[in-house]
Amino acid sequence: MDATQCEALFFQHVPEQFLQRVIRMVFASHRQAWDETKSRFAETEAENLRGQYRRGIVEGGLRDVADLHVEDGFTHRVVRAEGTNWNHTEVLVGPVLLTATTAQTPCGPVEKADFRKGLAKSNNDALFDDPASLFEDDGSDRHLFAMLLHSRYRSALPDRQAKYAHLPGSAYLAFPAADLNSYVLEINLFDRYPEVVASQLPQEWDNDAVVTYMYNARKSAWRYSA
Amino acid sequence: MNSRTPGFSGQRLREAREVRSVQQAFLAEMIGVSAQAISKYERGGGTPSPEVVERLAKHLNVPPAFFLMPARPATERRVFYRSMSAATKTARTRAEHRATWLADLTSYVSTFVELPTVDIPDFGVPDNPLQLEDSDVEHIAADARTHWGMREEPIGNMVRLMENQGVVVARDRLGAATLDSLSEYDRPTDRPIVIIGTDKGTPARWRFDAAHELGHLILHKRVDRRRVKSATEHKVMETQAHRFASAFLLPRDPFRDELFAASLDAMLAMKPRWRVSVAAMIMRAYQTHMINDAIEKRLWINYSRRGWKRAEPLDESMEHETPHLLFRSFELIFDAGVQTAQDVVTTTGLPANDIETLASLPERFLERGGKAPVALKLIPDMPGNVAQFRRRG
Repeated sequence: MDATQCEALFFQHVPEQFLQRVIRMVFASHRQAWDETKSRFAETEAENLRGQYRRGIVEGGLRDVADLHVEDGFTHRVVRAEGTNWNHTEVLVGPVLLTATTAQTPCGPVEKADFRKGLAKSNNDALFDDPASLFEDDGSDRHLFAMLLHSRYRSALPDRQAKYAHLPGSAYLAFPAADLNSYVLEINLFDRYPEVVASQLPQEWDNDAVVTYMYNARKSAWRYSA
Repeated sequence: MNSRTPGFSGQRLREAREVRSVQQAFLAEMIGVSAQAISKYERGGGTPSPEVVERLAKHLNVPPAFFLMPARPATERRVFYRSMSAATKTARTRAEHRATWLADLTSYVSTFVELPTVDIPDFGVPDNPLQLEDSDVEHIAADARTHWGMREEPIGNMVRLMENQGVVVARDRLGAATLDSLSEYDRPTDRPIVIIGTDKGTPARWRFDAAHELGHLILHKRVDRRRVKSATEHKVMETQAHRFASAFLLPRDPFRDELFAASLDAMLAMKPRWRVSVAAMIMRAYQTHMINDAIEKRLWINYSRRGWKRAEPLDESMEHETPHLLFRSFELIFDAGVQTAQDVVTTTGLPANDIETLASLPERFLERGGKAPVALKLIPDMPGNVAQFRRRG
């Protein structure tokens, strides 16, 4: 299975409306995390806390979006990583398993947590060795593993950074390779649904500002390796 | 001595007493007559002396002329009340009288001002509400929007929309927390009258009340009075009016498009634009099958946990929708000099402060001779007709 087939399989089960809602959820979650940490804590503590706070909101938000797609076959579960106190959300539909993760840069690398390594390995088995097995009920719990990667807004201009720090910097769907060192397929959700993004951007922004924002939301030319 | 005040109407006395929620015995004690005397006056078995009429007027806060105005002939009314089952008969009677006063004011105003033509569409809704299904109500709400040339967007001002269709709307304290609003077609003019109770609630709730009453006006115009009185059928009609309000304020497709998550925060984010409560959005999401039973239950639990049953966020910042139709009419009448504030009180026989409330006039507007508290005037040496703004910098 190549990236094209991977994309086709994904969209066979995930409606576009779900992803459009996910984008809006990401915007709302970043805003909420910013506002609530800012109003509740001193700036120093708010800065420390914001990433985790945002993660919590996005995890719940992902489940809430999935709850609007029950009729499409969506379910979700919260899984505690073995031997840790960390929980993460898994949204399931057909063979697709989706989690949410923060990345430092647009579609940047993610931490190689054990649960991600396990899920990515399933990707490798399922995607490239025997795609048909995704649809077999063999009890192996293999999935097409996708990650919603979202990053925070970054601007080289301090004034702009301060003013729009509540915005997300990007949102991607990434299908990791089995070793988690690269992505088999990356989908820039901002590029795929620009009208949804435009509806979430500050009203005072002119076209140049929007273009710059969309440009900065793209993955840099570099591809990382292990 | 049975006719010491010629033309005194016992029915009007009863009306005033019921509007003020005063019991016969209490009123009798206040004005120094027996309770039997009050009862007799009300039944038309005798009339009080002019002195007693003065005292009655003072204690019931109506002009003495009020008792001399002919009472409206008793007709079969079909008044729809929201929260009827919980409301007491006393509260309903009082509210009905207030609606009559509003109709009287409207009748008076329409002598001088051409009010908007009534345009409540007739979609051939069956006389029997039990024949009406939820899907029918959804269609009718959508058809009503189409009829009035509305797009599937948030309604800027629900009260203004209704007034533009010739509905007379008032905001009034109905004196009972169990009564939210009421509506009826005035006889014989057939003009719709709506009163939104302000005893409790929020701007979002009052908008919903207005849409609910619009639902009754469209869905239940032809329903027989006996059905309205039947508790079972009334409950069905209430549910239908509720469904209409939901569908009218939150059309299915844009609501589905805009709601991005089954969460209170996602709904709260929509509140400033749609100006509908989060509670109404939970109901709408359930009605339109966007969420199932379990998710709806979870949302209500969280709603309660957040203390939103007492007050939702953003309630304070939402604009109150004030009726303008009668207010603007009175302004026209006074500006043109065809009537004075005193004429209004004399002709209608209604107390000035009640007129002000029912017509949404500023407080003491009539006392000031029909002038707004702050009179604005144009600057005499204004340079041209274009407002000049100072250049920046």
